[in-house]
Amino acid sequence: MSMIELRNVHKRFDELEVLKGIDLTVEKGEVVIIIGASGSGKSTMLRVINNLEPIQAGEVWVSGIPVHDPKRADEVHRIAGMVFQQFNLFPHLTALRNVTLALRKVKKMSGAEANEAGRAALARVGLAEKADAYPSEMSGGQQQRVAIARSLAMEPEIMLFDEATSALDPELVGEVTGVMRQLAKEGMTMLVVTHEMGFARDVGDRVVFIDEGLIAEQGKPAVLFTNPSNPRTQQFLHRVLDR
Amino acid sequence: MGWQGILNSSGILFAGFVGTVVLSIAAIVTGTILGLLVAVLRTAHIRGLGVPLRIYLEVFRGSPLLVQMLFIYFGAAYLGLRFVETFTAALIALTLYEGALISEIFRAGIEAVPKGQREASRSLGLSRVQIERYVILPQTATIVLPPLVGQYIGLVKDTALAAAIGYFELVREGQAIIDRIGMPIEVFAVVSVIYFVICYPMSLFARRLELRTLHA
Amino acid sequence: MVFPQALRTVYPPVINKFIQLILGSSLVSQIALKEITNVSQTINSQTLLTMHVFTIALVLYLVLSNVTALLADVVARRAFKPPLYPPGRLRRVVLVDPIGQMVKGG
Repeated sequence: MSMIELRNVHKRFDELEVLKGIDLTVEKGEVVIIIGASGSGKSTMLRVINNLEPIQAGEVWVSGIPVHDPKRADEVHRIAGMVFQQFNLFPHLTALRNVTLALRKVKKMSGAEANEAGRAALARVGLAEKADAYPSEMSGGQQQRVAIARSLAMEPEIMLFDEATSALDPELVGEVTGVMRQLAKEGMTMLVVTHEMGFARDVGDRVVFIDEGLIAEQGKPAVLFTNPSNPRTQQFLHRVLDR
Repeated sequence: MGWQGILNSSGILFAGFVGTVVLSIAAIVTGTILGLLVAVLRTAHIRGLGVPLRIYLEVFRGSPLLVQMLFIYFGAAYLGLRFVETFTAALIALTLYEGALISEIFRAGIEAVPKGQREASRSLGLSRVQIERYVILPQTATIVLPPLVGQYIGLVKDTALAAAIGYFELVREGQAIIDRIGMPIEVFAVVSVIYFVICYPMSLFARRLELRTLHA
Repeated sequence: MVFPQALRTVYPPVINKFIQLILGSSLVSQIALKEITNVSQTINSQTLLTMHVFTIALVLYLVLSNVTALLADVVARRAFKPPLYPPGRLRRVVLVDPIGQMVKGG
């Protein structure tokens, strides 16, 4: 069974249909990059997978969990971790406490165990020395890395990145994509919504182009970026890459 | 002469002061608890509670505290609830009234916390209760403190209405003194000063809190 | 009719204050002016129909505050372009914004 399976997923916001029948499969260890214009539905698709948005039709399966079933939907949070464009760190907690909160309350670890795991996670993203700093004392790139550590500490099987670098100053993007590359190398199953085409080309196993609520085209980055078959894909890449 | 009379009555004034302070502190505690409870319930959008809570708020914000106090005091007597004396009636009325206002302060604070905080918490697997307790409410506290203290200052002044149902706080004691020695202007001037002495430090504190929130 | 920007901003809190003023009128009962509150007290002491009297008093005040709010809302709809609040259900113009009002001493 695939890690993630979307079957004919439809999602509406009031009158506007944002996902018009998405079919997608993601295998374990795959790094899938999702690109598309603003409003095309790419973030929504991610949020649907993580049970942050309900769907009107279709099925969403994550590691065997039926996310479309409201009774079991919340189980997905044990499997998937999510990193947001706005970081969403807890401002009233230090970096370490940000990371350990869920460890203590959800995984029921003791304080000592949680701290150990938390420090390890922070070290993994290169921020061990910032354990006792507050989010307001850190740069955007550091905050986002703490956010990644926070999700990683819960030992998810899948990591979802929703435009993780879009809110960062350009010189800070590298430190975050660096962590993401490392995760990909370590075999994490990742779904990345991004505008960073360089990252997509280097790290992605597959690139999915979403256009107006449907998957217009998908394929290996080498193929899709140089020789896209769908004219809409060509148009989009032209706008984004050539400027 | 006259001022000597006031000085002699300082014992009575002190009793009034104690009465005001006791009622204020009690109402602050109960009002805040009720307000917090109502706000959390309202923002949780629990089915079936929406309308009753809304009715509660409309009634207690849409009518004067004085009438509410009279209603509860005389109403309790009418219903034969003999344990309800002036303090209790005043406390109940104040709790319900201030609770309604305080709940709106808390609700605004809760809604001021960015949506992303809840989303990130859910993604980590935290339960609804855990999210409120460890993520949302701590952030609410900082936002909410200045207007909350402001409301408390108003509450202290609202306790003056308990005089109307005979509770012996500052205003009522002031009236008692006037009954004995006259001089209403001087007596109420002193009473006003005492209120000022209670409220001014509170407003300075609130001002400091306000600056701290802006600073963060 | 188009009102200047400042009026749009102050309108809800001003209406709010006005309604508080109406409710505050009950306090003048304490200095022996005839109004709803002490008339209720008088009727209560005379007839002892406590619940009835004070319930009616409360209802009267609720009517006063709500009617005022509704009228203010109607005026706001007519007067403000673009509208202060999105059209649709009958919205209350009066919204207490405690965070915005900060320390005003009640």
